[in-house]
Amino acid sequence: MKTAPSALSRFIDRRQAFVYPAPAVTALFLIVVIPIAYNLYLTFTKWTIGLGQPRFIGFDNFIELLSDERVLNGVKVMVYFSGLSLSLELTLGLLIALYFNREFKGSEIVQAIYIFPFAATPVAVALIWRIMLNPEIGVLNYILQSVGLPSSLWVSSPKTVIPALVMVDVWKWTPMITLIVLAGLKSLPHDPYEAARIDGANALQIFWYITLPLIRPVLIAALMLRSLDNLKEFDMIYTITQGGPGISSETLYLYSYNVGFSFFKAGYASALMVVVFLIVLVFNVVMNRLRLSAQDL
Amino acid sequence: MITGIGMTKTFKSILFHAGAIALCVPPVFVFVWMILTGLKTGVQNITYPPEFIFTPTLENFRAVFQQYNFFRYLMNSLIVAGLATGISLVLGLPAAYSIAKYRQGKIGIIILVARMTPFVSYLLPWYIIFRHLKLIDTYTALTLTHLIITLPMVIWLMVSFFEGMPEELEDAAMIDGCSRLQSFLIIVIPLVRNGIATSAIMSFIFSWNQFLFSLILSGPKTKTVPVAVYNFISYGKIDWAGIGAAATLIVLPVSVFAFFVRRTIVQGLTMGALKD
Amino acid sequence: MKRRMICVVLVALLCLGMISATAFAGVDWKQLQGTEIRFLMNKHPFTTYIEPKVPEFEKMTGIKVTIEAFPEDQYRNKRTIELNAGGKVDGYMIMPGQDDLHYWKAGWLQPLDAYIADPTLTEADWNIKDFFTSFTKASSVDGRQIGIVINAETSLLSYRKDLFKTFKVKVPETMKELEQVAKSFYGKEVEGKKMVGITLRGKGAAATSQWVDFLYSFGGSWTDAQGKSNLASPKTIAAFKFYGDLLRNYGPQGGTMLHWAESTSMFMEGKAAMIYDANVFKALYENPKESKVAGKVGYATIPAGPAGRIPHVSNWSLSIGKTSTPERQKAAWLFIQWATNKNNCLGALLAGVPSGRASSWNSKEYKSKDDHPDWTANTMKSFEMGQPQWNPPVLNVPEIRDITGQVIVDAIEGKDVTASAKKAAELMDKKMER
Repeated sequence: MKTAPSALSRFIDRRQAFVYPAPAVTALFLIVVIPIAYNLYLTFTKWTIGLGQPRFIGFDNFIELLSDERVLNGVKVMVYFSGLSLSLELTLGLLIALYFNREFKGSEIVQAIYIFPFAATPVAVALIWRIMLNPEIGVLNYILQSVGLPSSLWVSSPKTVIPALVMVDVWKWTPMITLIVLAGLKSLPHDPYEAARIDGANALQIFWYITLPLIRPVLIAALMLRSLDNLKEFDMIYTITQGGPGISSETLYLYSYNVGFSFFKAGYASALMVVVFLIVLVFNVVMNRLRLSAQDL
Repeated sequence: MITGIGMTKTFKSILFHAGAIALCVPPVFVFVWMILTGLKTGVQNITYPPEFIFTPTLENFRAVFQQYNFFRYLMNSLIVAGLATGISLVLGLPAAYSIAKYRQGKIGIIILVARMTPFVSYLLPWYIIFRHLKLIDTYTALTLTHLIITLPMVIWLMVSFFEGMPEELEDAAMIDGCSRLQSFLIIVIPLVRNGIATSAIMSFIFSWNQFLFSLILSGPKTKTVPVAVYNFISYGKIDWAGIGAAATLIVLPVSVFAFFVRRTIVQGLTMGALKD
Repeated sequence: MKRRMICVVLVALLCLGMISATAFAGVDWKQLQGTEIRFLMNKHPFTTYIEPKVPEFEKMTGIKVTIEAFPEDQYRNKRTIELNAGGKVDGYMIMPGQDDLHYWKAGWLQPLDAYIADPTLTEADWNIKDFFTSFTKASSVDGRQIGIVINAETSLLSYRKDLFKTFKVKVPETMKELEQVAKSFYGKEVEGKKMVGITLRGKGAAATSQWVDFLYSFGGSWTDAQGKSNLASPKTIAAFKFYGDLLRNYGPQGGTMLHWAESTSMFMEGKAAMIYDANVFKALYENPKESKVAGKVGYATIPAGPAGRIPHVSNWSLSIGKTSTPERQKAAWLFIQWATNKNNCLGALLAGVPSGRASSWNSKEYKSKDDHPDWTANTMKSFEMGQPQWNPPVLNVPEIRDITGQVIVDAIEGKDVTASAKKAAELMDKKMER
C-alpha cells in the first residue's frame, strides 16, 4: 500500500470529481440524451414513417391530444391500474411481512419461493397467465367453479380487465415487496416494542402507533421503487390484452406504442410519450415530497 | 395431561404453518402450471376441464431445443446481460462513488430522467442510429441499449451504498500514501461488495428479461430468450404447449439464479431503499 | 458455286442453331452466384413449408438466402421500421390489401414486371397467367405488379357436420338461417360440454378482416362514391349490428377479446358448432394432434346477406425491396420465382397452404389427395365471387381498421351501434390519408 502513485493516478486524483463520473455520463449522454432529444424534436413534427420527411407543425400534436378521447382513456386506465396495483402490493406486502415476521421453521423456504416471481421473465409468464385467464378453457375459472364460485370473464370483459391485470401484477411484485418490508421489520429497534408491552398495549395499538410509523420510510421507498416501473408497465399488458377489450386496458403508454408502431405516426406518438413521462415525473415529485416529510417525523 | 397451553401452542403453530403454506401457493402455482402446460400436448392444453393428471410428454421441450436453436438464444441472453452488467459496473461504480462523495445531485437527475422515460421512445431513434452505424443484429447495439436499464440501476443502488460508507477508512489509506485512485480500488470497492453483488444481480436479471429492445434491434444471430418465446405464436396457430415449454426454459434459469442469491438481492434492495 | 451455297447454308444452319440454343437456354440459375440476400417473413404456414427447402435453392443457384421470420404482429412492426431505416431487406412477405398503398407510396416496393418479362430471368414455364387473375390484380398497384401470391385466402363457414347430421340441421344459406342455426345450438349439451352456436373474431381491429365479409354481404362499403367514410350508412350499420348480436348472443363469453387463436381453439375444443374464419385454418382443424374435431368439419361459403354472398379474398405475397441493390433484387426475384413455381405451389397446397395457382388446384395429384372436396369447392367459389377490397382504401390502413374495430367491439357489447358508427365515420374522415 505504500507504493508511490503514478503520474496518471495523480492526474485522476486531482480531478476525481470529474473523471470518475465522466465515462458514465458520456455513455448516458449518448444512449439516453440523444434519443430523448430526437424524440422531443419529433414531438413538434408530423411524420408517418415511410411517407416523406418529418414536417414541423409546432404544438399541433399537443392540441390534438387534448381532444383525443383515447388520451383521456389512457390516463384513466393508468391511474386505475397503477393506483389499484400499487396500493394492493404495498398493503398485502406489509400484511404478509407482518405475518412472517417471526422465527419459524421454513422461513428460508418462504424467502426462496418469494423470490421466484420477481425474477420470472414478464413476457413468458404473461403468456401463461393468458392461457390461465381464458374464460372458456382456462384453469382459473375451473378453480373458481370447483369451489362453487361463479366463473369470471377476467380480462375478457371491460369491467373486470383492470382488476384481472392488477391481479397478475400483484402476483409478480407483492412477493418482492414482502421481502423488502420483512427485512425492514427485522431491523426495527426492539425498545419501543418492549416499552409498549410493558405499558400493556394490545397488538393493534402496537401495530398502529409503533410499527407503522417506523416502517413508513421502507414502505415509501418500496413504493417509489415499484412505481417507476409500474407506471410504465408494458410487457405484461401488451402480451395479455394488447389494450383490449376495445380500449379498456389501454394505458397511455400502450396507446403511444400503437400510434408509433402500428399506425406509424411518429410525431404524435412522441407527443404521447412526453405526456407519459410527465405523469411519471409528477408522481415521483409528489412521492419524494411525501418521503421527505416522513423523514422529518 | 399436559394441557391446554401446550396444545394451544402446537395448534397455533400448525395454524401458522398452514397459513404460511397457503401464502406460498399463489407464487408457486403459476410456475407449476407453466411446467404442466409444457408437458401437455396441444389438444390437452385446450381441453376443459383442464387435466391435472395426464401422461406428460417431453416432446415440446425437445422441440424447443431442436427446432428453435434455443442454446443460441440462451448464449445471446447470457452475453448481452453479462456485457451490459459488466460495463455498467465499470462505468457506474466510479460515477456513483463520485455522486455520493461530492454530492453531485445534478448527475443524479440524468439518471432519474433515464429511468422515468418510457422505453418505447428510445426505439425509433436507436434503430435509425444503429442502422447508420451498421450495428443491427450485433451484440454491441443490444448491449448499448440494455445499458439504459442497467447503468442507471447500478448507479442508483450504489450511491446509497457509498453514502453509507465511512470516509475515515479512505482517509486513513491516503495518509498511508495511497493515491485516491488506489484507495478507491483497494479499500472502497471491497467495502461495498454487497452492494456490487446486488446491483450486478439486479442488472443481470432485468437485462435478461428485457423484451422490447431485443425484439426490434436483434436479428437471427443475436436473438435473446424473451423474444424467442414469441416463436411459438405463428399465423394460424398458437402453440400453447410450446409456449409452456419455452417459458419454463426461459424462466427457470433466472429464477434458480435468483434463488441462490436471494439474500443478497433482498439485502441490497432494502439497503438501497432505506438509505434513499 | 455449289460449295459457296453449301457454305452459306451451313453458316445459316449454324446461326439458326446458335439462336435456337440461346432461345431454349432458358434461365441461367447460376447467373447471380455468390449473392447474399435477406428475406423478412411472417411466421406463416408457407414460411414453414419453404424454409426447409431453401438449401435446395441455394445449391441450384449459389445464392445465399437468409430468412428471418416473426409472428405477425411483431413482423409488421419490424418490417416497417427496417424498411424505413433503410435496412438490408431484399425481399419480404406482404399482404397487399393491407400495406401495398402505404409501401408503394413510401417507395419500398420494387415493380416486378421487368423481371417477369425478361426471358433470361423468368422461365416460360413459370407462367404468370397460371395465377388467379383476382390475386394477380390484388398484388399490383397502379398497374405495376408488386407481389407474387403465395397464400390465397378467403373466409369459410366451417361447421360440425357430425352435429348437423345428428340434429338434422341444414347448412345455413342465408344470414337469417345462420342466426337460427346458431341459436339452436347455443346452450345445447353435447358430449358433456355446453355449446355455443358460433365463434367469430371480436377483438377490434383484428375482427375487421372477418367482419368485412358481412359488410359486403349486407350491401355496405368502406367509402361512398365521394370517397368519404361509409361506416355510418344504414347498410353498414346493419352489418355491425348483425355481427355484434350474433357473437354476443350465440357466441363464447368475452367475445371482444376473441382473436383467431382463441376462436379457433374454441372450435377445435369442440365447444362451438360453427366458426367463420380464414380457409387456411383447415390444416389446423383437421390435425388430430391439435384438434378434437378433426374429421368432423364441413366447409361452406358465407351465407347470403341482402346483397348476396360476398366474402373477401386476400393474399400474402412475396415482394422485393426497392431500396436493395439491382443485383440483389435480381437474386431475390430468382428466389421468389422458385418459391412460387408450379412445383412448390402444389407442394404448399398439399401441406395446407391455399395456393394462388390454378394448376395446383386442378392437378391430378391434388385432386386424388383431396379429402375435403367441400373445402376445395367452396374456396374456389369464394375466390371467384370474393371482394379484394378487404381493407379501407387508404394509406393508413391500421389506423382506420382500429377505428372500425371499436364499432365492432361496441356492437358485440350491445351498445348503441348507430352512435358508435357515426362517431367512427367522423373519425375516419378526419384521419384517413390517401
